[in-house]
Amino acid sequence: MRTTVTFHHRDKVIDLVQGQGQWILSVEDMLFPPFHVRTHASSVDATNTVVPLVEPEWEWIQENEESLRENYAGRWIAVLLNRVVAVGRSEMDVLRSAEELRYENPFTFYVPTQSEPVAMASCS
Amino acid sequence: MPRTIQYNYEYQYRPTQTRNGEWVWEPYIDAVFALEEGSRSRRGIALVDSGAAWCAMPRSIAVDWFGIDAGACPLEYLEGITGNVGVPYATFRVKAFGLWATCKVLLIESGLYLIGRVPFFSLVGVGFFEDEVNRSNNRILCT
Repeated sequence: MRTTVTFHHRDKVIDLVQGQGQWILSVEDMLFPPFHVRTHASSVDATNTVVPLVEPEWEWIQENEESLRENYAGRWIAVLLNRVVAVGRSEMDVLRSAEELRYENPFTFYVPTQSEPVAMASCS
Repeated sequence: MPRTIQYNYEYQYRPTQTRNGEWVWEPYIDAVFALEEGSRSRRGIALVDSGAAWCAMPRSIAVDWFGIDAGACPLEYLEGITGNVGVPYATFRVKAFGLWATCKVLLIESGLYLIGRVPFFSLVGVGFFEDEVNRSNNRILCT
């Protein structure tokens, strides 16, 4: 039995094909050598037919890094798609706040304070 | 020439500051941790730790958010500088590098989420490239 898991990332189509206990990764027309899936009580989940390669919220956070720092530095935020839906002092705080507001499975992120990463960023 | 998937490693997140004031880059990617049963998940970023065998997550989140009884979990014994330490673990579904896998996740006394080698490094090749001066050259390559 062959199982194919297809991912879409930007303009690329990526296939992960299982056959005879091996997984083969294919990015567009390129085939990579088969990988043996080791079992340390772990397994690849082939039930999802389409899995985004990058969570959309992570892309949005990176694109909006500056404005997030201005507004939420030192806080945890919960993001759904391109919107901050909850803010908290800890990850548990923000998870609970989002849940109370009926936002399911938000992307949580700690926004570093200005003194943390900006020093290095300004050097680059 | 095989193509690669390139992750943005430009964003500097929680850099480690050394005692002499230097900063180092840390390779974070987006990741999802979910229980095999139940609707709750944790979507966020996790540190790709090629030196760690197993994935890991904060014990406090495992207990308070996922409702896991850490005291009842089996232990994985890890050799460290303080000797052989037992760390509780639970089975989670983890998404990293765009792949879902069901695997062991250590519940650690830290705020870190880690993507360890098992099982992801059996599925993809991961390379780290850092530029100490120009962060736009930093990248995680996944083939």
